[in-house]
Order: sequence, then structure tokens, then C-alpha cells
Amino acid sequence: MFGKRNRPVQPEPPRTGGTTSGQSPGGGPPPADDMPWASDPAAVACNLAFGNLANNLASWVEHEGRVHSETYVAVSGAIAGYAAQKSLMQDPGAMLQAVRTASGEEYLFGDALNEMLLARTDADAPARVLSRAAGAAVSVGMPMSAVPKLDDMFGHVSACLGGPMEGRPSSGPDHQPIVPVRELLALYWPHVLRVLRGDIDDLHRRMGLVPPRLWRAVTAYASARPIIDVKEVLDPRVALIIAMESAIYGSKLTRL
Amino acid sequence: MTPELLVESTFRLESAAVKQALVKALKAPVGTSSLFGLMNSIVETYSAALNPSHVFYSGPSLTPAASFVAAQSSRPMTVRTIRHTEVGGMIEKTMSAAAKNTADDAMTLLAAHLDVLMRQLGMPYSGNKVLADLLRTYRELRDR
Repeated sequence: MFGKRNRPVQPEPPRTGGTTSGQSPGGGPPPADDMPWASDPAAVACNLAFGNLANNLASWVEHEGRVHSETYVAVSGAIAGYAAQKSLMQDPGAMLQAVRTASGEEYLFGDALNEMLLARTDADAPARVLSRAAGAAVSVGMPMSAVPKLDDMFGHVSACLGGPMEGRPSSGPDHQPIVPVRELLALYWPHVLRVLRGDIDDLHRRMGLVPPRLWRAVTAYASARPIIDVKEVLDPRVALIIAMESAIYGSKLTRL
Repeated sequence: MTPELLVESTFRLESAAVKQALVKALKAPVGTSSLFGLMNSIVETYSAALNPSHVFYSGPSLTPAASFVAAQSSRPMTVRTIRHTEVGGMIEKTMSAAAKNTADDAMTLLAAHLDVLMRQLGMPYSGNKVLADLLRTYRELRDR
């Protein structure tokens, strides 16, 4: 029921650059490390939305002059997971199962949903939250051997549905977001929608909106930033677990 | 950052003469400014947008959940935007001026400068990528 995940997380290598020759900005073929929406007609809207989301999320989460790292990372992962589900909904042929718990709450399951989070090929990686988040964690010092097992994370999320730990990552009592992930999404998703729809100012409105089919890619791309931002205060493996489990949980929600 | 430090930290050149030439190019006047001044403006503009001074902490939350939710629900969530047109305009001005008057490879200098900035910000992007995205966005904005 909860889907099989036989492949490990494929971290996307961090792009530290360093090559300063060859590519001509604004001309020639697109660079190999281009963003996943680079060839889409909505590329500029996606660029703007990605930048605005990545650059503003910490400010949104900030409270009394501080940013709680676990909350910041959880919000970012949850946004990416929920957005991935919304992108999948654009495909009329997508196969999803709705599972109802004893409390009457419905959650979504299915391989198609899991595949919106996981990269099966290298080409998929830049547009999948788990690759982006894992790549960020590796880039700030987490050994590749420490990448958490997918089955453990999916299993934790599924096992907690309907219980007191629902929406809480398996990162231990000292590393929890301030409130469960569903509440975080309810707080921040409306603002994410403003960013995705370019509903910020006249300039952004002229650039158009990010098509829902690309919400997954834009939010996945932005999910790397918080893990890097908090590297001085939060172990990257812990941050990765929080981000991933929040994304998995967010992808299953049918209401906020 | 000074032109000397930029050259030293970015290019890792062995030749003192080449280093001096690059520093000279960066300091050379371009209109009423210098190539370095223009590039520094780009970096400052980009940095200001990307690098707000947040204080991160981890562990148990210092804020009760109810207080956090109440505060976040009631406050405006502004969206601070990168000024793509301003940055893109400066890049084009710099490239144009440099091509006419000073550095042989303004693009390389700009990309290297942005590489330094991205490393300082902990951002996983190359200077080339930042430059390409900014220019592309700038041109889209300009041409509409």
C-alpha cells in the first residue's frame, strides 16, 4: 500500500561551479547545469518564483528575530512535497490511492506520487526534492554513506498517520518543528501560491505564473537552500531527515 | 573586497605580471566609474537580496507553538525580490564598457566575481550560471 522504493536516494551533486570559460550567458546551448525548467516557455516565471521562494522563506519563518532551523527545514520540505502532489494532479492518468484512517482523514498513496519525490534517472534529479535535499546535505558535510534509507522515512510517515506523531519527523524530541507539518503548510502555502502565481507586483504579474506542472520542480529546487542555511546549527543528516519526511507527508495530504 | 583580493582569491595565478594586469583592468576607469566598481555594485545588489541576516538556532523551540502560530497568522508575509533588471542592466553595462576599454574577458571576470560571492553565501551555483540566469531574465524583462 505504501509503495516500494528499491532505489536509494540519488543526491544531486552540489554545483560549486568554478568553471569560468566556455558558456556564453545569453547565447549558445544551455549549460549542462541549467535549471530543470530552462527550456520551458515559463522559464522566467520559474526563475523568479524559485529565487523568491528560496530567498524569502527564512524571513517568513523568522519569529522574534530568530529562525528555528527544524521548522524552517520542515516547511521547505513540506512545500516541495505538497507542490509535487499538485503537479501530479495535472496528469489525468495519474494513478493514486486514497486511504482513509479511522478518524476519517484521507491520505494519498501510490508509486506515481512517490516518483514525484524520487529521481529514477540523473536527468530527474534536479526536479526532485529528495535529490536536491540530499545533494545539499552532502555538500555541507554529510557523508554519502549517511544518506537515510528511504524505506525508513516512508515507513515512519505512514506509521504515524492518524496518531499523535502524525506530521512529526523521526528526528527525535529535540529536533522537531514548532508545530506539525500540516499546520506549517496551512500557514505558509497561501504565500507560496502567491509566489508561484507571480502575484507579487506588476512586474511579476507581467512575467506570468508558474504552470502547476512545474510547481514540483521549482519547490524541489528551492528545498536545498534551508539545509545549507542551517548547517552551522543543525546536523545535515538530521536536516535531511526532517526535510524528506516532511516532503513525504506533505505529498499525502488531501486538505490543509 | 579589493581588486587585489578578488584577483588573488579567484584566479590563483602564478604570474605576478598577469595578476597586476588584471588588477589594473579592474581599476581602469570606465566612464565615470571602474570595472571593479561596476562589478562590485552587481555583487552588492545580489548579495543584499540573497543574504539577509538571519539568526538560526536548533533544538527545542524557544517559542510556544500557539504563540508561533498566532504571530505567523497575523503578520504580513512580504516577498523581497531580487532586482533582476537592475542587476542585469549593470552586467550589460559592465560587459559593454569592458569590451571597449579594459579587460579582454569581462565575462570571465564577472563569472569569477560571482563565483566568489556564491561561495561566500554558501550557494551551490557557479558564477556562470548566475550570470546566465540574470542576463536571460534581464533580457526577457527588457524586451517585453
